[in-house]
Amino acid sequence: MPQEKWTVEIAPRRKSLLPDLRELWRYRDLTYLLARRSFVAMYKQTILGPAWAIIQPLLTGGILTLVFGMLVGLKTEGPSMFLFYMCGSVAWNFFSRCLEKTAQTFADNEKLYGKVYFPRLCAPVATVLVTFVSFLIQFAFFLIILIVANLINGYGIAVNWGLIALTPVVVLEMGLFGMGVGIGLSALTVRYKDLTLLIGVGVSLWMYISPVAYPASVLSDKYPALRTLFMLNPMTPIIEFFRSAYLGTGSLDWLYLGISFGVTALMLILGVMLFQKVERTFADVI
Amino acid sequence: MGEIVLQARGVSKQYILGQIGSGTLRDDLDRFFARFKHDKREEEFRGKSGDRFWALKDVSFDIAAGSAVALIGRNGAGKSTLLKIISRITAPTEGTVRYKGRVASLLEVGTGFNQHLTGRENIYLNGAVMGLSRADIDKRLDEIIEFSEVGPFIDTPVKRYSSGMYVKLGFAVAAHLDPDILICDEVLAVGDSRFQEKCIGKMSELAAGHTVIYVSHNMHTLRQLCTTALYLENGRLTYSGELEHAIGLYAGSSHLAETHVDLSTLQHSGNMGKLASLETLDIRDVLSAEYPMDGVIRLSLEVRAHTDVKGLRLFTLLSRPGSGCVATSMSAPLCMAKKGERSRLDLSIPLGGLAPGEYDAEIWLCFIDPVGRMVSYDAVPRAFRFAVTQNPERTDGMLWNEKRHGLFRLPDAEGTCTVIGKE
Repeated sequence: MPQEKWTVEIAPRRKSLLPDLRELWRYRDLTYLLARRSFVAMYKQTILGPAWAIIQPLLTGGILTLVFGMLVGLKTEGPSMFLFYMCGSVAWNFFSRCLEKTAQTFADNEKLYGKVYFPRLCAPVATVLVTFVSFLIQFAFFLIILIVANLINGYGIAVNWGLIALTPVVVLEMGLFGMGVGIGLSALTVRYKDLTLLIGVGVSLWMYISPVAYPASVLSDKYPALRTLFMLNPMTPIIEFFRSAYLGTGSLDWLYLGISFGVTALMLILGVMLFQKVERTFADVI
Repeated sequence: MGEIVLQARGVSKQYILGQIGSGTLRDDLDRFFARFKHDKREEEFRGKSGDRFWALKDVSFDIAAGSAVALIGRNGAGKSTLLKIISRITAPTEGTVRYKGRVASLLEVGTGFNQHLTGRENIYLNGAVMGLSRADIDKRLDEIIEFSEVGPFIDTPVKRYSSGMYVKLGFAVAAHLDPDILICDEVLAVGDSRFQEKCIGKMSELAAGHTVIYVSHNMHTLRQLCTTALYLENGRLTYSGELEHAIGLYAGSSHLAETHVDLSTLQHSGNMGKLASLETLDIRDVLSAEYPMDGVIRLSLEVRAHTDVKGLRLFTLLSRPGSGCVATSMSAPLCMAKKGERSRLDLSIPLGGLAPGEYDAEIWLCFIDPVGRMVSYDAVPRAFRFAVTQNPERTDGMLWNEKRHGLFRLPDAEGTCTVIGKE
C-alpha cells in the first residue's frame, strides 16, 4: 500500500515543538466551554458573583492611593491620584492574573490531561479568555469612573484617541505575554515543584519594578542610569501606554513598546515550546 | 480483512521506577555538569533516578476497519499503557502508532465533568473534550438525554446527582460520540444492573459498525463484543488473533480454570462404591471452562472397573453455586468394562438453552435397573465448575436476565400469523 493516508501519527518525538494551530482552532468549542466552566465555577456560590471583578480594582486602586499616594506621598501624574493608580492596576491585574493562572495549567488540569486527548493549549487559552472577561468588566468600570470624574470634577483629561484605537493590540499582547511566561513556568513546575512557591513572590516583585504604584518618570528621573533596564521590562511601556492613552499623562516610548512586543513574541514561542515538550509525557509524571 | 485503520510498529514505553518527578533543579544541574566532565558520577545519578522498566516492549499490530478487538492481559501487562499511547495521553518511548479517522477513548466515564455545571452543560463540555463540536452535540442532545435517563434533572447541577446518575450521563455522552475508532477501558460496569445491560447492548451495537478496541477482565462481555484479540504479557504482545485462544491464554495464565482434574483427590459419594470408579476428568477444546449459551461441554473421563460392568451411564447434575440442582444431563449407556480394565469415556454435553451464569457440575457414574431405580457406582459432587456466557445470537440479540427470564430458554415456540379481519 504505497499511498497510505494516516490521519495521525504518534511518535516518541514531535516533528516540531510548535503547536498545530489548525487543530487548536478545530477545538475552539472546547476552549470556549472550558472558559465558561471556570468562569461559572469561579463565581457560583459567591454572594457578589462577577461584582468581585469590580471590587478588586477598586480595592487595589484605593490601597495604592492610600499607601503610596497619601502615606508615602509619591507624586503621580494627572489630576486624579485614584484614576492614575486604578489605570495601572487594572492593566497589571490582567497580566499578572494571566501569568499566575496559566502557571497552574498542569496542576489544575491533571485529571483531564491524564484521561483524554485534546490540544493541551486549549486549557491555558481558555484561562486567558476568562481573565480577559474579568479585565473587560474592570476596564469598563475604569472608563465609567474616568468619564464621570471628568464630567463632575471637570478634570479636562485629554485622552489620546489615536492610542486608544491601539488598545486591543496591547491588551492582546499582555494576554499572550502573561500566557507565554505562565505556561513556560507551568511546564517547569512539573519537574521543579519548588518553582510553584516562587511564582507568587516573583509576580509581586515584578509589580514593584513596573510602574504600577508610581509613574515611570519618577524612576527614570531619579536613576537615569537604570532607565534603559527599567524600560526593557515589557510591562513598563505597556502601562505607560495605558496612561498615555486614557489619562493623557506618562511618556510612551515607541522604541520600548516595540521591544516589548518582540520580547512577548519570544517568550510566547519559548513558553509554548516548553509546554509542548512537557505535555507529551506529563501523564507519566503526575 | 478490511482496510487497516490502526497500525502499531515497535511501540515501547519505558518508565522510571522510584520517585518520579521529584527531581530538584540542583539534581539536574549536577547531572548536567557531570555529563560535561565525563564524570563517573553520571552513572551514579542514573542509578539514583531509579530503575528503568519497560511497560511495553516492541508491540506491533494492525487493526482492520470494522473489527472489534479485545485487549487482554493480566494486571500490569501493559494494557492501559498501550491505550494511553493510542489515545495520545502519553507518548511512546520508541515506535509509532498511526491511524485513520477520529479516535475517541473512554478511559473514564464523565471526563471533565464540572460539579457546578448542569447536566446539559456537562454534556456539551464532555462532548467537546471528546472532540465533538457544538453542532454535533446539538444533533445528538435529545438522544443522549434520553439514553441517560436523567431527563428531569438535566438542568440541575451535577453535584446534586446521585453517583448512579452521574455515570449514566457520562456513559450516555460516550455512547453517542460516533468516532471511527473507539477505545474503551472497562467503563461498561456503570449504574444499576438494568442500565449495565443497556450499556452492553449499546456497546455491541457500536461494535457492529465501528472499529473498537476494548479492554476488560470480564470474558463474558468480551465474548459479546469482540471477535479478535490481542494478548499482552509483561509488556509484550504474545498473541494476536482468535478471541477464544487469547481468552484461553489469559485463563491459563491466571489459573482460573482447571482443565485436568484428578478426581481421586476429590470427595466421592455413591451407594455402589468400589465396583467402578471415576479417576480423572479432562475438559477438552476450551481452556477457560466458559461456554456460550447453546455451547457444548466436551469431556474425557477415565473410569476404572473393579468388577465386570456394563450399561453404565454418566449423569451430569448442574447446580448454581449456593442453590440446588437446576438441570441434569444424562447419557446413553456407554460403558462396558471387564474387571480391572480402565476405559475412557468421551462425552459431549450440549448445554441447550441453559441460562448464562456459573454452574457446579456433579458427575455420576450409574446405571438404571429394570424397575427404574438409579444405581450409582461412583459420584463426584463437585467435579468441576464452568460458566455459561451471554450469547446474543441465541437470544435474538437480547441479553438474558436470569431474574426475569429464568434458567432456561425452551426451544423456540412455533406459530403462524393469519389476518382474520379488517376494520
